[in-house]
Amino acid sequence: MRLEPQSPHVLGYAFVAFGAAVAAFFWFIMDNVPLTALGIGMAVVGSSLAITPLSPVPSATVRRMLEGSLLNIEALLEELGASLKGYYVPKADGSVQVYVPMGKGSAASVAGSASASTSANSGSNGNGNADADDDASANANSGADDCSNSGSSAPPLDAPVDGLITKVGGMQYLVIFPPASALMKNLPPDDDQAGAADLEGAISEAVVEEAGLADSLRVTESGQSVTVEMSSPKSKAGAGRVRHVMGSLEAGIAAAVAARARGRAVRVVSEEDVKGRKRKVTLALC
Amino acid sequence: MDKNSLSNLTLASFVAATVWALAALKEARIDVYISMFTLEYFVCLAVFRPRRRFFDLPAAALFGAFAVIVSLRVIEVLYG
Repeated sequence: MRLEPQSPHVLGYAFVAFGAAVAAFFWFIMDNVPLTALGIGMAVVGSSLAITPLSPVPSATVRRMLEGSLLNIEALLEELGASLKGYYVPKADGSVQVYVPMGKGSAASVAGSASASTSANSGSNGNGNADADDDASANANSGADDCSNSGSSAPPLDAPVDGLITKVGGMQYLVIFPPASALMKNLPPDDDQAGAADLEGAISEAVVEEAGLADSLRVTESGQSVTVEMSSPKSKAGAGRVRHVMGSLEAGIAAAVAARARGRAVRVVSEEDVKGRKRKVTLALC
Repeated sequence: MDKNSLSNLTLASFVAATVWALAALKEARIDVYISMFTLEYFVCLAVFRPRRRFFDLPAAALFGAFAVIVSLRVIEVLYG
């Protein structure tokens, strides 16, 4: 027998109806309290069943789709030689985009492959000097200011998107739609009070409930820093360049949610796997 | 088993055990059963945090019933 997807809800409604009937019968006719309570209990359990949502797409499938979306980004970053940490910037339409500074270490062909609307003046940025030393870039990223990247800073929230590579304030940025960008549309509309108050709830909703990438998480804020501690992160994707530039899949989703909730650019400063089943992600609000 | 199913299963187990235990003790006050159901429902809600399709009507109804039960008890104590 094949069960229809909505059968738990039908079962729940049946329990509610049957439980109510049993309770009424034993209360009014039989005057029996325990069996009346049993009927009420059945109705309670049935109502809980009825309002529990089904998952039309299994969490494992959602997870694999998100992991697969990172493969193209990995190839793009590899091709362009992007190695600086990106900024998660919230946009007016509710989406979040990642602006990756195309500083030292990016391919020399970046300036030539930029869209027609970008400036050809790349002298000040030093993009003509191709330097594939990722270690040097990584060391530059560990400076005192978590929001700076070898001289670049977080782009403004109204930064334009003129093609794949856009120029903002004399600095070229590679603009990427992260996997979490689409998940942002599932979040409730922006509400200044609600969004500001429950950052942990918003990140948990996206990472744990929607994407099924962790069992639970805890968020603590300290000044301009946000620490997310995830329990049992499940994604194995986001190795290499993607992980360095955008963070792991879980960290990227947390950064996107934080950017949208706080209305500021966010950067994944560090990730640390603790005891194998916990991951500590540090975000910086720029 | 996901946490939504686990929450419902735990709630059903609690309800069954409660009715069995209180019936064995020959408890004849319906408000005791309802109070226990309310407690168990909110414990499952707090521990498992199951998702809900819309507003949690069972929680609201159980809380309202519990409030009425407590109010009647307080009135009984105050006014005999």
